[in-house]
Order: sequence, then structure tokens, then C-alpha cells
Amino acid sequence: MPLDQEAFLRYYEVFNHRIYTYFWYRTGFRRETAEDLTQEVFLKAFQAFASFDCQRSFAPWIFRIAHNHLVNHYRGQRPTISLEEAPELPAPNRIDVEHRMEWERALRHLDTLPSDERDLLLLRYVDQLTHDEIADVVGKRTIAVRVAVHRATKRLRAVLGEKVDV
Amino acid sequence: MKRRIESFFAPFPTPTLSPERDRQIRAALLAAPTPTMPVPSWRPSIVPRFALAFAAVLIAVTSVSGFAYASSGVTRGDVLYPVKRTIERVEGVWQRTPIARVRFHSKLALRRFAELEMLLGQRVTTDRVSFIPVARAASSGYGNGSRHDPISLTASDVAWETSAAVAVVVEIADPAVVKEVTTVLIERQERLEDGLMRAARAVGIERVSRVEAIAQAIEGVREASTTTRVVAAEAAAAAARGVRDVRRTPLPRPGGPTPQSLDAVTIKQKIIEERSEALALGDDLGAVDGESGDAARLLRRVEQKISAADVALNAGDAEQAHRLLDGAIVLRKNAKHFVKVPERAEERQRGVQEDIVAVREDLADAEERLEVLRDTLSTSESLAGASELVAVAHEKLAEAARGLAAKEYDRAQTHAATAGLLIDRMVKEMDGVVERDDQTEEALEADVEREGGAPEERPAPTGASGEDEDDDRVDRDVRTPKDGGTAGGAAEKGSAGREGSESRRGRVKGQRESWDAMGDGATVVNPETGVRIEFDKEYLRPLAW
Repeated sequence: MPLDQEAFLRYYEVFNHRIYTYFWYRTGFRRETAEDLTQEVFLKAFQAFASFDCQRSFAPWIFRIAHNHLVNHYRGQRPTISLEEAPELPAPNRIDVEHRMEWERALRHLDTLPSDERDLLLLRYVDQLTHDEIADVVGKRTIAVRVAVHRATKRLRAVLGEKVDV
Repeated sequence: MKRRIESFFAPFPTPTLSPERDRQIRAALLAAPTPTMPVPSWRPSIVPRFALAFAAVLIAVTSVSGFAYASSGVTRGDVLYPVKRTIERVEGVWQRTPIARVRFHSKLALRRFAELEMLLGQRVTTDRVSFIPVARAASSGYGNGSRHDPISLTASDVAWETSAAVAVVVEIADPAVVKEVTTVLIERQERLEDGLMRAARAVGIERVSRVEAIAQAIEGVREASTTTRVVAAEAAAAAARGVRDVRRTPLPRPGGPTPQSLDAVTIKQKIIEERSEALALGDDLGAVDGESGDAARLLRRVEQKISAADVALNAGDAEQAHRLLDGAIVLRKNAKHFVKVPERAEERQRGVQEDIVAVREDLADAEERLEVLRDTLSTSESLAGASELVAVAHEKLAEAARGLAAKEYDRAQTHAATAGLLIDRMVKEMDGVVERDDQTEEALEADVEREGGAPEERPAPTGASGEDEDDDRVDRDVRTPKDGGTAGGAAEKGSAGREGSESRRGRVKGQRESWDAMGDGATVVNPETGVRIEFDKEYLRPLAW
């Protein structure tokens, strides 16, 4: 197995589920669509692996590709996670009923935020990216991302009617 | 209630790919064509980046400087010429020994001459450097345009470097080395003198100041050559006497202090002695009927050098004063050399006189031809350049005569030579006018033939029957003078039907002369048959063979 293929498969093992989660939240929890997009993104990333700077982090690179791929997929139509638009409530793996109800409630609160702020919060707290990595993905400066995340958090706190300690 | 934002997202599930899709993706990745290996981007630190930029700049500067230094094509007026001269100055600093400095200046003299040839080959106009002063000089004809003229300045540089090389020769101690060096120098000086003579002939006569500048350069090289020969002769004499150090040959002080130990008082004493020697020589000049003109000129330079040495000594620069004093002594001996040989002076005077007479005769011939052309051509505008040249040639001859009277034979000869060059150019000017006149006539005949008019249908010119070849030739050569026809010089048979010279009048008008339009002299050789045809002083060229 060529070295680059082996290296990429290692990256794949680390990031396959994270990329799938990224698409799952942004395709209305459509499992098939998210899996298709995940496969396409990893194949695309593999072909472009030569341009990847090994000395830098893989996460922003692959998330950047996923972000662009999602934009192309919707062709200008912004992705949504609205519960109303979802064909069915997702059935994540091994999620209990109480946990699921709490998540549905949180999703409804999150759904009240503007889409860009919602997306930033997902990148930060669900996709577990740092501010620097988010800046790389969305193509903004780190400080701008940090401020935007802070504002989104404050807005979410206002929606929840409680003081949220960021 | 307050809780961390992470707790809000805690219930958010993180789904995983189905194992089936995971296998599909892995299989697709394994089946996909292998991309090329990622190339780690090289991000040089700040130091290598600066080093890289510095190296690039260094390479660029070295390349440009190397080109500027090595190329004789980089001449005065070029952007890179200051770079070239700067490199040469730096190179000069590293020439420590007298021999190295002699070689250096001699090399530079040859380089300057190569640049001069390049400038003449390119026919560079002074407009490259400064248009206005040169244009003004050219329009006045004889102004001092040489101050901004690259050719004139380069010619001066040739003489300067030659003199600089000779000035260093006196610092060489070993007489054998002096002999060797001076032999090379003399050979090079002769080459340079010949080259400058060629340059003077090649230069456009429209730049009178340029011709004069080159003439001055020739004079400078000749003077340096004379000094070199004196130094060589003295070194040979010293070697014969067994003297090992000839640096102080002009200073007869056997057993005296060495040059290094000369103090200011001794130098001052020598200056006083040398001044008295120079004054004594000046007194002798009035009594000797020889080349006192040249000797007087050298003596003036001796006095200048003595004064400069005195000034340098007062300024505390004993070394410079000593060097200047040495130069003064060499020049004084040179001047004395001229005074001691009156028989050579008489011979020289006779030669210069002959030169002036010969040039004067040439000028008279050229003037006569100019008068004939002025009568035969319909307009004298095209001969304006030749007329101006006549005036300048007269002026130069007058100056030559004055130089002869003052026994300044070099100056007289230079002016006479300049006058000769002017006459040559004037002859070419007139040849060009005649040739263009003939071409105009041929064009006119061609026009007439195209229009269907037979030559015999045109009215015959005054004083010419047009019936036989002789008459036809006379008509053409006469150029239809305004007064109705006066026979000019004889010429080769022309083409048929050239009697329409009346119509040539307007064609010549307004045409600009070309310096190189015709060959020299009054002898024309048919390139096809090899037949030489001698013409009289009108220099009329055959229109067809």
C-alpha cells in the first residue's frame, strides 16, 4: 500500500464519523444523503491529498472540503437543520428516550437562531473544532470567529432565558 | 440558572457511519488512483528568505556590473557607463606597484579607444547625452560642443590614460623594467596615435569641435610618447652606467638622500633649484632658433608643475610635491631636448611649411571647383555646407600660419591637418551634390519617357546641338549654367538624351547633402571593365558607363 494511501486511511479512521456528523446535522438528519456526501468528500480529499500540508492540522482541511462540498450540494440553498423540514426525527445510535427528548428540546431552541450562528455553534460544540480551525473552514479571521461565537452564545442564552456561562 | 454552554450541547448525538458505508468508502479509497505524495511546503525562516533575496540581488548586480565592465559596447552616454567607470576606479585602487599601475592605465587607454571606435561605428550623435548644447554648437558650426560629446570626451580619455601611464613609469626603479615597460608603452602609443588619426578621418566633419578634440587627443598621445622615449633613453643610459635605481634619474644627486628620506626642506630646495633651471632654460629659448615653440609650451607646463609642487609642499603633502617635482624635471629635460637640436627644428619648420602650402593649394582647387558648381547648378543651397567648410578651412590655415610664425610647429601642423580633413569633406560634399544632380536628371528623363515625349522633341539647351555624343557630353557636364552655358570639365560619355539639363534645376533644390555619397578624388574606376578614368578638377562623375 502506498504511503500516502496508508496515511490517508489513518486520517479517514479518525475523521470519518466527524465528517458524517457534520453532514448529518446539515442535511436535515438524512442518513443516506449524509453518507453519500461523506463518501464524496473523502474521495475528493484523497485525490487532493497531494496538496495537503502535512505539517498542518488535518481537521480544518477536511472540514473546509466538506464545507465547500455542502455548499455545492445545495447550490446556493443554505443547509438547514429545521425540525419541521426533517423527514423524520433521527434515530441516532443507542440514544435513550430521555436523552432524545432533551436533544429535541435543545434543537428547537437552536433552530430559533440565525442559520450562520447556528452553524458556528455546531462547528464549535458538536464538531469540536477550535476557533482557529473554524476560521480556516469558514475563511474568516480567528478573532472574528471568536466574536461571532460569543454573540451566538449570548443569543442562545437569551433564547433559553438563562445566563449561560461561556 | 447558570450552566456551561457545553451542557446545552451535551444531548446532541454524534452519529457514526454505518459499517456497510464505512466499508464502501474504504474500498473506494483503496481502489482510487494513488495521488502523488504530498509535498511539504517549505516555509523558509526570515533569515534564509533574506539570504535568498540578497543572493538574487547580488547575482543580478554582479551580472550587470560584469557586463558593463567587460563590454566595450558600454560607452559614454550609456546607463551602465558610470558603473563601468566605478568598477575601474575600484580596480585602480588595488594597483599597488608602479608596474601594475602602468599596465592598468595603459589597459584603460586601449579600452577607451575601443569605446571610441564603438561610438564612431555606431555613429552616435551627441544627442544621446545632451541635445541642446551640441545642437547649438552644430548650428553655429564651430561652437564648443565637445564638452558634452561622448566621442570628444572619450578621445580625451584616451590621451589622459596614456599620459597617466607614462607619469607612473618614472616611479619604476629597475632600469631593465623601465626599458621593458616603455617598449610596450611606445608600441601602444603608436597604435593609439594611428587609431586616433583614423578616428579623426572617420568622424563627421559636421562636428568641427569633435575633430578638434580628437586632434588634441592625438597631440596628447604624441606628447606622452615623447616623454616615454626620453624616460626610456635615460633608463638605458642609467643602466649602462650601472645605476640600479632610476626613479630619481632626473635628480642628479649621487650619494644624496634616498627618495623616501627626502624631507620638506630638501624638497623646497629642489623646487628652488628647479625653478632656476627652468628660468635659465626660458632665457635660452629666446636665443635659440629651434623648436622653441614646443619647448616654450613644455616649459610653461614645467612652471605649472613647480608651482603645484610648491603648493603641495606648503599643504604638507611632501610626497605629492616630490612627485610633481619629478614630473617637472622630466618635462624640462624634454624641453631642453628640443632646444638642443636646432637642425631638427629647421627640418620640422620646413615640413610644416610644405604641409601648409599643400593644403592651401588643395583648398584653392576645391574653391575653384566650388565656384564652377555654383555657376552650373541652378541653386547654391545644396552647396551651403561646402561653402561653410571653405570658411573653416581658411580659418584653420590662418591659425596654422600663426602657429608656424610662433614656431609652435605641433599646433601649426594640427591646424593644417584639420584644414586638410575639412577639404576632403568638402570634396565629398561636392561629389554628393553632383551625383544627386545626375540622379535627378535620370529620374526626369524616365518621367519624360513614360509620358511619351521623345528627347528630340524637347527644346535643345542653349549652346548645344544635341546631335552628336560630344555635344551631348558637354551639355551634361556644363550643367546648364545660368548665363546660357559654359563648358565645364571633361567627363565620360553619358547616356543618350541627357540634354534636358534645363529641367534639372528644380530637382537639386532643397536636397540635403550626404557625406558619404561619393568616393574620393578625381579618379573613377569602372567596376565592370576596370578602366580608370581621370577627371579634371571639376570632378564630374560619369552618369553611366
